[in-house]
Amino acid sequence: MTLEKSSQSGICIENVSFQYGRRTVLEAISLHVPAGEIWALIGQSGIGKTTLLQIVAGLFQPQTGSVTVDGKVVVGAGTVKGIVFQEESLLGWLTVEENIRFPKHNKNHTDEKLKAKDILAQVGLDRWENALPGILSTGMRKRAEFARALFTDNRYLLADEPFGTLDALTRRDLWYMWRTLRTSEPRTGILSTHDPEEAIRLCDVIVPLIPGTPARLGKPIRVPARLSALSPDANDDELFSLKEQLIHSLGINLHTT
Amino acid sequence: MSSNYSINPVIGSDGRRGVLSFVGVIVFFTVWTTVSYLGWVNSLLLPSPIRVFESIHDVGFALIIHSLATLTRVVVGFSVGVFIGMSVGTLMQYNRNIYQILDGVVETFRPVPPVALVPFFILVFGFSEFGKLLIIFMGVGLLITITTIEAIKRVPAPIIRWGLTVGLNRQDLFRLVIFPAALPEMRGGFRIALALAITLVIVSEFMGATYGLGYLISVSKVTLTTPTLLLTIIILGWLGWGLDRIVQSIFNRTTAWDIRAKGTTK
Repeated sequence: MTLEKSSQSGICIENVSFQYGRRTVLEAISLHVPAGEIWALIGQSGIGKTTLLQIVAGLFQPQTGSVTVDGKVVVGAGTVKGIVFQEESLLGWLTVEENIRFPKHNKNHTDEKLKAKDILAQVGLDRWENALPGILSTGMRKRAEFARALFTDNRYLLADEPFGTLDALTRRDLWYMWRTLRTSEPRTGILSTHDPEEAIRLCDVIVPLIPGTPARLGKPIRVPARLSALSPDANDDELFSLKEQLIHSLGINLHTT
Repeated sequence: MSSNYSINPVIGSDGRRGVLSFVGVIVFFTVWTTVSYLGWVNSLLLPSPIRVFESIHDVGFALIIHSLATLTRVVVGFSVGVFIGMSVGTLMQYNRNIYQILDGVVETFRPVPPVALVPFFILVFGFSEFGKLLIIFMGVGLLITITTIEAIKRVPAPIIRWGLTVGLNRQDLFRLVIFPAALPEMRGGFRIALALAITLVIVSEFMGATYGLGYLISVSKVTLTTPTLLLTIIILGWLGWGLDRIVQSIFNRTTAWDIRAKGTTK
């Protein structure tokens, strides 16, 4: 659901504040993600990353401020449909393919079926379209959630710590998938994470959420193109130095014993 | 994609499980026969299993009539009670105002054992069939209402958020997301409600009926025909077992996705 139009394209968060009861989680947060870019929102657990993404998705209503997507003010869920939640959210009683086409899963649209098949092939689940989510591994279920987000929204993607619950090997595997999808299915979006390396390897710009009551946004850091192009398995001195810089900006001192 | 872990207490093929259940029944009847023939208990109070099954001839065709009367009351009472309970429970979660209106009534009657209502219902409706069924509707309905409310409350928030994200209205959100997700959580409540339906039917038949297994037990007690009494109890147990298997089978079919997920991923 959207209202008036503003001139800025992409995702624009303006002066957003949010409280849970009396506790202020976010205060006067402003951010503009230009069209075609994916920004990382990095911060410690419980700092407000999920809350901010839910506000962008229209699932939470901020007490002050507004979010515009492609110039339209978000006033309820449904403007951005490409969402990958932190927790599992596939519908267990529907097959992978039906999950992707939900809620039109019962309609026999050939075009949509072909599109779903294509996206499933891109995330490596082409042989699992008729499987129920319960028999898939955690990594495969996450792939299916990405496929669903890409199918449902062909412009925007919000990913809330999508790799947080995965083991290191599966996470690395999905980083490859993410990099491939960014080329074949470009989106404008926000990825929230607490892993600086993940933010550097997967996003264009990194915005730290600095601890405090309430948390505040740090200065956005653009990831050098050379680092963005690095393979998820390759290491680099500049990557480590940026990682340390990010960790420091999050208020964590690694050298304290 | 497979696992040796099973949610079932007995691991093995269906055939092996069937044999084990059969062995259990044989052991039970062997112990009973031994106790009875050795005269450890007065045979008037505990006749042998053979004498109990011989009493089928004593009761004759009437046994089928009594069994069918009880079965019909249980099935009708349970089905209508389930329908009422699921409807009320869903409506209470669908609409906050309905919840506020009905919550006081549900919470008042929830702690009251339905059996305690039997004398009141007999007072109002006499020994009519409608009165008996009404007791079951109420007992089962109340239990299923609570079961439905709790099951809906336990639906994971992310899947509800996904339903909202793809633009479902409240009605479709309940129909396509919340209700199917809540169904597996209702299994336990349904099985308990079935046992309650049988209990209420028997109690109401004790109080006043001319047909039914409860009536037969009541008459057997007065005439001291223990074999018939025990036979009726065994038939009642098998009837309940069979109905429970049907309820479980319906859940196994409709919520196979959940059983499979829990059985292969945990």
